[in-house]
Amino acid sequence: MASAWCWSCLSRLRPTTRAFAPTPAATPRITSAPFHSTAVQYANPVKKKSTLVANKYRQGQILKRKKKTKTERARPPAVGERKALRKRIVLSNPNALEIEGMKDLSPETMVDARLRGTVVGLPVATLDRLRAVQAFKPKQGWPIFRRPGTVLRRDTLEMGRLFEKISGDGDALEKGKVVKKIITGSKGSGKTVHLLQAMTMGFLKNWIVITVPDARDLVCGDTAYSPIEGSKPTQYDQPNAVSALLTRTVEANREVLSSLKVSQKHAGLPGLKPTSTLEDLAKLGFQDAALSWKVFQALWAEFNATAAAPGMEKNFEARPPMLVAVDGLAHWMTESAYKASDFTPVHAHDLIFVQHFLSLLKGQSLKNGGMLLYATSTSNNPSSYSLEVGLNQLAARQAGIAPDSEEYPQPENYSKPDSRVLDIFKPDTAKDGLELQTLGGLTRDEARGFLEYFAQSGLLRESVNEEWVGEKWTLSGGGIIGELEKLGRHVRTAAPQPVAQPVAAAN
Amino acid sequence: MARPTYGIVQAMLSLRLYSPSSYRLAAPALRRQTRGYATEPENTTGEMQSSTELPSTDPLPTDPPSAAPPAEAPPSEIPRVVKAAPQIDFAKFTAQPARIIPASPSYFSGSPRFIDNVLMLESLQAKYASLPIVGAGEAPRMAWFKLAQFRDFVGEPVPMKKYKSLLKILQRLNRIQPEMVPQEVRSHLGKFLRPGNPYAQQNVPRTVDENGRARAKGKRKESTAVVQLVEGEGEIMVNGKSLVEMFQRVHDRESALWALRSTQRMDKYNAWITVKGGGVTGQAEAITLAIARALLVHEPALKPALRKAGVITVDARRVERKKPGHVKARKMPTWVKR
Amino acid sequence: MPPRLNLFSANKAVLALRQPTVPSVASRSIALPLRFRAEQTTPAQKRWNSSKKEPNPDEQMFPTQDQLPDVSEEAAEIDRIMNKEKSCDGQPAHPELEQGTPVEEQILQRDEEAMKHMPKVMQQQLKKTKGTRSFSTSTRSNQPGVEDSLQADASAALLADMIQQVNSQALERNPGLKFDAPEIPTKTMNFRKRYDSLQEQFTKMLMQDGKLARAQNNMSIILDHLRTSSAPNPNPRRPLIGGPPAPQLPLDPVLYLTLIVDSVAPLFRIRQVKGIAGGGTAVQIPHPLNLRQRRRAAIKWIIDASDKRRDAQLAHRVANELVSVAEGRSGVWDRRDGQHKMGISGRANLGLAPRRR
Repeated sequence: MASAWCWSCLSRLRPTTRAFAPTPAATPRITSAPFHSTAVQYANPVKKKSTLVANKYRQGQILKRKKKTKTERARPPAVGERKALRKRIVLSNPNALEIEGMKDLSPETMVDARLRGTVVGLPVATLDRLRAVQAFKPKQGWPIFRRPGTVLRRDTLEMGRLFEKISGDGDALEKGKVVKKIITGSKGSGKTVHLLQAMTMGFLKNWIVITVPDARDLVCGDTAYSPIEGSKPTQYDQPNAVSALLTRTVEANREVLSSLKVSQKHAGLPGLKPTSTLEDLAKLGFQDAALSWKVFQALWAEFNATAAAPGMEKNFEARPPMLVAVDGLAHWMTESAYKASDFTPVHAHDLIFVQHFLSLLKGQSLKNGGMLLYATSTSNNPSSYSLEVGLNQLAARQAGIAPDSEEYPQPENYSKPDSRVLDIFKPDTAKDGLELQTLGGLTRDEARGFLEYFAQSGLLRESVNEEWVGEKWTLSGGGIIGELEKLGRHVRTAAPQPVAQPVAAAN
Repeated sequence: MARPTYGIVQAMLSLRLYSPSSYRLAAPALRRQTRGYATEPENTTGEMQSSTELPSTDPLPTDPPSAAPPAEAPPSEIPRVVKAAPQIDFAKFTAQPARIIPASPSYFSGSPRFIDNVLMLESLQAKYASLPIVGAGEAPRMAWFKLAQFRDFVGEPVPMKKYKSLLKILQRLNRIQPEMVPQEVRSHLGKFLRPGNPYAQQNVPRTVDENGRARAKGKRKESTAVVQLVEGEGEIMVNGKSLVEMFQRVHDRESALWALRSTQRMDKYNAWITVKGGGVTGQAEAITLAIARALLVHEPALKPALRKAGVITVDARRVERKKPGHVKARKMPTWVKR
Repeated sequence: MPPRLNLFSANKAVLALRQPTVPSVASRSIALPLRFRAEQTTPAQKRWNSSKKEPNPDEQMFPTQDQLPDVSEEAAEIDRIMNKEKSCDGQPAHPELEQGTPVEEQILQRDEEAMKHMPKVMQQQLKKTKGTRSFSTSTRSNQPGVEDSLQADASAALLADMIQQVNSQALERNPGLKFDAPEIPTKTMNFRKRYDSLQEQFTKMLMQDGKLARAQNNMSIILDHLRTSSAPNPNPRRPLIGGPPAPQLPLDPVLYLTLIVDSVAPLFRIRQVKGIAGGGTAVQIPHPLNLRQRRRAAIKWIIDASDKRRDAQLAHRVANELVSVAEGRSGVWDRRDGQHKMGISGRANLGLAPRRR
């Protein structure tokens, strides 16, 4: 019988000295401490003596391990670079395909029910203005498309109709009406984009657009604040924040503001001339931050003027309606990060800026008509029990439950609700009451239009059919648009594997 | 008890092979015994008693009783009345062997009863070798004894390997064409069956209830999911929340609904799901299994598709327990001198 | 002209016409408590569907919902055009819209082609209706009112009958299914292999501390980066292997990634074998790698090289490194070339390598 070993194998065994080395000798024999509790034969063999550093006198041996050598890394990015990257807003992807026949959002398309479920582009002329009011947020999926566009859903079309009514061509009944809405909805349901659509429509209709892109900026303690003398209880002014607001407003509404002339008398503003435009007035504010609040009040009075002050009628023109949009309402419903002089936290309602915008929710606040859209947020959001109760009450009233009925939601006992917050949601006697608008998911047809937009942009490599859309609709929790967007860009299947050709080794 | 060695087994086999018929003729009485230990004192049959008395009474033994029980105590008292010896029955004398022969040919092996069984089955197999057989898959499914049960049955420590060889014979006998199985074989095979044949009872296939719901459970890691599946439009509720609130990751959502997705049934069913325990991945994949099972209740013909999609395969892996002396399940403490 | 009435979808649309496929529970209802029995008699006849099919009142017509008019409406329209002059008394002579019109009357009479290709069921139905019944099977209706309503429902009943036949045929074809048989799942439809193999391998190699979700998130950032960054300008000396032209690559990021990784993947690794040359020197012997091993080596090199970048995020570092590989600027290429050079010089040592017997 032939041996399993061939002679060449055996001959090759010879030079390997390891084969003959006595293996037991490789494991260290510990003789000095025979009574330690760890089994010697289970221990890993000690690799190097150098890891155990023996101290000479009266000290035990301590275990020192070599630290891992760190790979050479370049210096970390400069200060502020990370934040800039995080906040960067890219609105175009040159690689994505241009969609033929894509319509723009315009006064005609924004009320066209036939376009429901299609994606319309934001007009190029408004993009800079939208950027100025910080309408775009980083994670809304703008950077993967050729140009920014939004889907016309039911709520958008309804809002478009409202814009048309309030703008009122001629003698419409609803002209000059004030619509006050609080917009809620689950995460990713498109609340902020709804505001963006409103702003675009406002620009298209030549409204004055005033926005607070993130309510948190005013209460997180980042901007300077100072108490207002003589106010009881003490109120606080935030000059830099107001100045920033004025800057935004001027940037976005330059066209409208430069066409309107000052029509009221404003005390305490030395630089103001009777012939100056509203733009000049606003500019006073952001040149000198100390004046900003006064300027803002003057500007507000101008916006709401229905008639000119006596003696200034010459240049008076009717003021357009106004859109006020606030995002992240819950931040204004708790205590702010600011401290009073006795080191108690300042309630957000004591900040005069905040107080001004919240007071608009009551009564006939916008004299020339317009829309107030205050959206809640679900990310980086403080939990406010009082706001929750208030919104529930609002929803109950909207559903027809009388405030004195038993089913009307009340704060729970001992829950210490914030009465100032609840006051905002008390029933209003004015004829234009506060409304609650809850954004849900898209319908299947709308979802299909939205996903087709991905496919037409060349980002989606699957055939968009009924079944596939139904699947995505379910996966997105019933058409939640933020989730649909994630699913649309989610790359799962790929093209067939390219055959890896062996490259010439000489390469 | 000593384990049987192969030599003894060989010897026993040879005994059977070379003189089976003479042995049976020689000791018909012994063959009747079920427990054939020759030295057992508590034998009740008269014949055996007489045979134990034989050595003392028999005046003319042909052979010296080499296997005579030495344990028999000498008579403690002298009988008062001396009886005459009984008359020698010569007819009986020829039928009875001169010395005691073990009842079982495997008596001297370590596990005589096991070997008896093997011998019996082998003889059956040889006897009916000519009968037609069916394929292994078509034979009726029989629940033979498990090893532990068989050990209890014979009362001997049977090694696994040997029991397997016995099972092989049983299976061969079981393959005889069902119509032609002899009664003898049937009765012998019956001895090796577990009480209450578990394969005899058929599982009742699950059906949807009167409201059109199919209910199924699934487990993965530490999670358990219960799914109620109804025909509908693709609305899913998990623990009263929507799918998006429950699973933030697209990956988890996809895996939870993979059964519906891979069979293109996503917009045809609604699901009401309760899931508890474990983490996010475990919960999602427990739901996967539960939905797949519920879908099978609605549409049994989907089984191959679901199998291929990998959603009815139970992942039985669980976290391995920590052991004493280890840092984790397997990790050993690093050894430190001192 | 193809028949416009899709029988399968019609079945879905008309809930009441759905056929029972749930095994009837009536047979075992005796065993159930009495209060259940009464409820069950009717429900057992239809399939339960937990979603409501009520149309939303404010649903409007969408462009995606471009529906052709109903057959009856179309017939009415044609009739109106044809008999415009005739109907002078204000009573248009068009067919009843409320009652509907059988498909075969309206479409198939006009269309010879469709007549030929119409479903077998309908053909049979036509045949049946044409022949006169023998006396023994015809019955006279005692109630004239019932007769009328039957006439009115005739077309609907006919449709229902056809649907039932089609349904039962479908059921016979695939028992145990309630809907269309699914396509046989491809490999990507497997639960465990849903992602592209390279994408998955890359993701797993990006993973740190077993955090797969985070790695997947990073992977999606990388793919988005590849999708949005401008198309690579490949170095002619270091081209990407195969694939579409470079400007098209960003639209398929997974393919782009695959090409990058496969292009810099080494063909072999160098084994340092001691003891065959003698004198304690190690001999470098090239050892071939399979596809997965080659990709692993390439991914490792790319991730290692990305550590030297300055971007803050891991995903951005890796993505930028990938783009620079695609453009032939990365040091990974040098590394691969060095490996191949060593392999070529080590070819001579192949004979020395002990072969596994």
